[in-house]
Amino acid sequence: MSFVKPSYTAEESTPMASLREQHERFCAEVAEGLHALAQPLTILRSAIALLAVAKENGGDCARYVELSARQIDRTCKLFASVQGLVASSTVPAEPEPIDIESLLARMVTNRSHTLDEVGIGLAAAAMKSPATAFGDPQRTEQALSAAFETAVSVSSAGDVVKVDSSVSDGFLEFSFESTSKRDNNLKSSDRLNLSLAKANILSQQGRYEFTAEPFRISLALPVHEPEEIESETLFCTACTD
Amino acid sequence: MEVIAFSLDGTSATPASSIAVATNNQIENKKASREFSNSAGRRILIVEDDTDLAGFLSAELEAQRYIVDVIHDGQAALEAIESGTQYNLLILDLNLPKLDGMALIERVRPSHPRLPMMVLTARTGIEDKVKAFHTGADDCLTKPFSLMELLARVQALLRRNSGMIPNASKIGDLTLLREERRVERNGRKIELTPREFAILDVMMRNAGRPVSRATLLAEVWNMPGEPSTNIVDVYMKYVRDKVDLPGEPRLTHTIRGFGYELREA
Repeated sequence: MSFVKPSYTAEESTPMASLREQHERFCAEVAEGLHALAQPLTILRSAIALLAVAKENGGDCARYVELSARQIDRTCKLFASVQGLVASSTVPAEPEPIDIESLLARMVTNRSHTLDEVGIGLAAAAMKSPATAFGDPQRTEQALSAAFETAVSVSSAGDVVKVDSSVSDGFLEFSFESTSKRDNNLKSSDRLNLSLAKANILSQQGRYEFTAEPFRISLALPVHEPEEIESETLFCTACTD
Repeated sequence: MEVIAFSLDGTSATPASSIAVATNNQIENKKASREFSNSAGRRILIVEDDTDLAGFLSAELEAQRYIVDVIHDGQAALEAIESGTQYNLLILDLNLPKLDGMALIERVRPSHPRLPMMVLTARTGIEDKVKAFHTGADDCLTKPFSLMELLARVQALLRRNSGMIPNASKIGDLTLLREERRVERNGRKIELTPREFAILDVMMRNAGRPVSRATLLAEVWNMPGEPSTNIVDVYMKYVRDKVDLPGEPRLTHTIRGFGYELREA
């Protein structure tokens, strides 16, 4: 068994991968998730014991409370990622028209303040040709969030995270780039996020692409044609009547 | 040496060693304090790419009065060790960027035979641990581990290291200084490669006793098993040519069909 971190040079979706390959990849991704979980659990296991001691001795409890809270938050996020990874390969997607632009705008707005504090720039381009995607809302949100957080994670002060969107060949594509010049070594939580974004997008007939240099993650979902919306609306109206 | 790593009145900033209080009582805690009292001045290198975990371990070890350096990738760790900084202990993750933990051990072990190495891993497979030990690790701890266990193992490794093998070994007029990585014979400085030094180190530790080729292969090359290669003989000749110059009393002796022995006459 190799201990070398996986190479993330370039990756595209491979719909023709055999079942065995898919299973092996899935197992590796879950193992990656468990590996990532082991880090905060190690800190938590000790910090809780240290907190008990500090409390009994009248020592500095605040440090361990703060430390534990941060690691619990981290553990929960990682757990949600592993859960999402498992769900993407065991539960069928439930596609519906999604207003991804609003979803993404909310995500970017929520994060912009904290990014500003650490000196990471954010360049989110307005949608060039507004369109509605057709996908599973929960999975799509999780995939976009995972991709966005990975782009943020590889960035440091002075870098810029760029979020862009475009429509081509019937797909609505969202890209997350970082101007980071750091070498190609992702943390285990980043690798888990990439796996999650990929699994969530591929499980709903989407497209996934990743390149490490320049750092760019691309997620694409089929565009929901306006005619389909109209026909659905008419159908619903007819049913109501 | 008296180091107040923590105090029972809670005034110290080093509560880590008092975990025992949570489960036992204050007497146990005092024992723990004494147990961790010989840490001052010992330098530990932590190689861990998870910054939160590295920071936590570093803070708790520093609270125990260890001097701690933290590095987040294998290549930088190798450079730090090879730069000449004298570490008393290396704590490393296996899953490291640039140079993985196993490769780091392989690169460091021949030139630092006395440096204790503790592996931290999230992998629970027996074969992974066995491989780590075969590669040259002295201890292996599986995540998520308890800090108390890590501290106890750190103490054990440092105690073993300082007690079992002295820094200097001498036989006849040949002297080997491990920390300084220096070898001299009758005032003559002998330049050895890391591998040659490792061979001589094993021979000096077993001076006066025959050392088998298999032992040398296992200890110097981390290749346990019956030797089917002449690599030991080749390197032993290099060592012999440098240690025993013409006209000097021979210290290296061949034990036919077995291996070698370092002894006077």
